[in-house]
Amino acid sequence: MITSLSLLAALGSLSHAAALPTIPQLEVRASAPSFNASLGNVTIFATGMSMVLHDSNIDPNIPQVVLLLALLVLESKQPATLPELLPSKP
Amino acid sequence: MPELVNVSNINGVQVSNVDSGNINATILLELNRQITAELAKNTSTGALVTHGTDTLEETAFFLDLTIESKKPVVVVGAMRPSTALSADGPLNLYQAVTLAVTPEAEGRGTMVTLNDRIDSAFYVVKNNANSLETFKAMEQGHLGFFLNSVPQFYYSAATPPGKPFFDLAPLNLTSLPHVDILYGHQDSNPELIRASVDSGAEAIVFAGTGAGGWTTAGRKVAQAVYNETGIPMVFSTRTMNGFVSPEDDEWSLASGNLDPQKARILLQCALAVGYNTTQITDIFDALQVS
Repeated sequence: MITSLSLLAALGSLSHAAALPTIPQLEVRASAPSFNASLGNVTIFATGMSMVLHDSNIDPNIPQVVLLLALLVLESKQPATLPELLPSKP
Repeated sequence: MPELVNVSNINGVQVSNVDSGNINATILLELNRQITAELAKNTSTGALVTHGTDTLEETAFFLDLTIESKKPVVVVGAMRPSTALSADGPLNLYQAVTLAVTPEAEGRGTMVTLNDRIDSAFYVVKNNANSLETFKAMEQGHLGFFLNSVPQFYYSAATPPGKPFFDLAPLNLTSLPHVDILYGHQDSNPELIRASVDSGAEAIVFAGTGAGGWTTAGRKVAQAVYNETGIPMVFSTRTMNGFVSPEDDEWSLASGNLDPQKARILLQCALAVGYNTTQITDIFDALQVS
């Protein structure tokens, strides 16, 4: 089971990342702490669209892939809490 | 949203951070390399690419031509902004993950999913600039759909006739050959053909009127440029749907079912792996109906 805490730990380390260059990539392994061997393993390759979350209070430097993972992992369990959980603008 | 934790473990990689209009060959090649490497792992079930919708079909087609794996590759986007009422991104993303881990999705090449539909990257086109119901292959149809977020397929897995594979990953390329698309219309300027070649184009795709039609003056210039340079001249159609058959000549090629943007990517891949004129002709001939 992926927990909110494990993902937030990942978010914490990324919250001060500078705006990403086009390449190289930033890799986030949100599922590593709680791997469920009975499930499939999908890697999301984000190219830069803000398809899931755009909140003016959230740090704009957070990479899109983090938001994608956050939405998939957190919102399905804790609807409407995501904006409060992500790092705010400095 | 349904609980993703019951569907799949997920990893994330930020490959680029650009609007889809700014996706370029460098990013495509990096995507190809990373997805190829990921799918080669025994632990990998499938790959998912999030992408702006404007050029999504081009990236999906490129991946379809350059990734040889039975594991699903899914490209997904959203038509509505994430701030809109009833934003479609979250559910599209969730469904894309379920598609990427569905065993029935194996062997179908790269797929595109939005708005509860599943399409083949080889055929799908963005048909509407605004509507949710925009990605479809008008002639070939959808591969399937989602019922309560579970993928359902109309057909068994199949490969489009004549679909080539280009093994780009080992080449470590950072760019693809320059191929231009010229748009056909009444009184089109024939000098744009020569201007394109002079600016470095290694092939030209003509988005022709009707079934690859072009002005008489333009075809004369195109033939003259071909005779001088030998670069491929591929005639497609601006109509988005329909078939372009070869002319009875020795210099022009026809795109078959491929629209101009797909024909361009196919040419880029073929040139990148070093195909000569005969090999490129064979690829386009293979796309023709028998």
